[in-house]
Amino acid sequence: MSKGATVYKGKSGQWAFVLHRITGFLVFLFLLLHIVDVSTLNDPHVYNQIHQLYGNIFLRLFEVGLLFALLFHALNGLRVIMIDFWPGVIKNEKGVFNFMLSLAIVLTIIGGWFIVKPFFLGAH
Amino acid sequence: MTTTTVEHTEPTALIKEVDVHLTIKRFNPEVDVRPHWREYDLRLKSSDTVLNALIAVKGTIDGTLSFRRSCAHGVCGSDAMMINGANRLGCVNLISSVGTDLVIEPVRGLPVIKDLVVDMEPFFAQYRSVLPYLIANDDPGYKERYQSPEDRARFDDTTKCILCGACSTSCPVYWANGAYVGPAAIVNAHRFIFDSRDQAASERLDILNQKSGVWRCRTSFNCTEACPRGIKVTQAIEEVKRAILYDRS
Repeated sequence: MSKGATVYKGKSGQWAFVLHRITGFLVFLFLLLHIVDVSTLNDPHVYNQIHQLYGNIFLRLFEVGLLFALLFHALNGLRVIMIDFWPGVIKNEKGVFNFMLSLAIVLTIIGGWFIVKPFFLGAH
Repeated sequence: MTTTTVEHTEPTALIKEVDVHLTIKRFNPEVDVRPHWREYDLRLKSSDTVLNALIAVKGTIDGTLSFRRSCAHGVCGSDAMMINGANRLGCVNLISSVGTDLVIEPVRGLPVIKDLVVDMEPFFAQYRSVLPYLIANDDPGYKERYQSPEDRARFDDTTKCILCGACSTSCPVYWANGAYVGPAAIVNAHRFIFDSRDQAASERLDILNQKSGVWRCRTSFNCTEACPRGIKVTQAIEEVKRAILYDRS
């Protein structure tokens, strides 16, 4: 076992909390980026040039990541709301986490295909 | 040709001697600038507890090792520590169940005094802040205060707390935010908020409705996993949240 800093071995609830924080922060950063790129609308030329960047494969993959962050944050947020308001849910909290995480992954794969597809079809 | 073999579990498996490797986070405030790891090897019975292992290290290898223990039977709540990455009581976990390669650290979120001994005063100050005692100002008239078995059952789970601090010191919010009262204080508030004989529930709910109260809980469930008494800590916190939300205003 490592002798440096050790990680507290919490169960799924701890990792749901950590992932919720990280995805929330990433979505916030994207929001800042989004405000910046939309604010260039004063100059349509700059706006178009910047938005063409979003067509390249790296930024499309970044958007797939963003989609996962949004989906996980939203779905885990629903999980937390359910735990807060429905007393029965707390018994199945781990199952609800697994369901929400799986749903986020499945929806990311489906949505990710639509985000990446135009790049391969050359239609961006 | 096959021979039927019956899996033979030795009745003496628990008193079998095993090699135990301990890695303990040490800190002596008089010489150390920061904590460091020390390793110890010893032979113990697999029926020995982690606390037995620490006592053996202190008694036979390194007398400078410091840790708290009192009853050694999971009731006094003195020896909460982080064993292999999770908060547990040293005295109720056997080598046979936690393994022979052990990494032991003091609990997180409270200042370390020496080795595994942490300063519990912030923890007890938080405990006192929620008025953890019966407040009933009416005169029962020299009789006991009647309570039905159903009313008693309402808060049964939270009466089991031994104030070891394993829950509060497993909480990521508690590590980061020293102002949060922590799961243990909320559990002990819950014990009186839902007690039919008590008359100060609204006072406690006011205290827990503050910035340092229940709303800091982010339902990471570490407290529930860590509680050596099996108290459903997160559930108790959620019940207090709902009491603040529904019972008043």
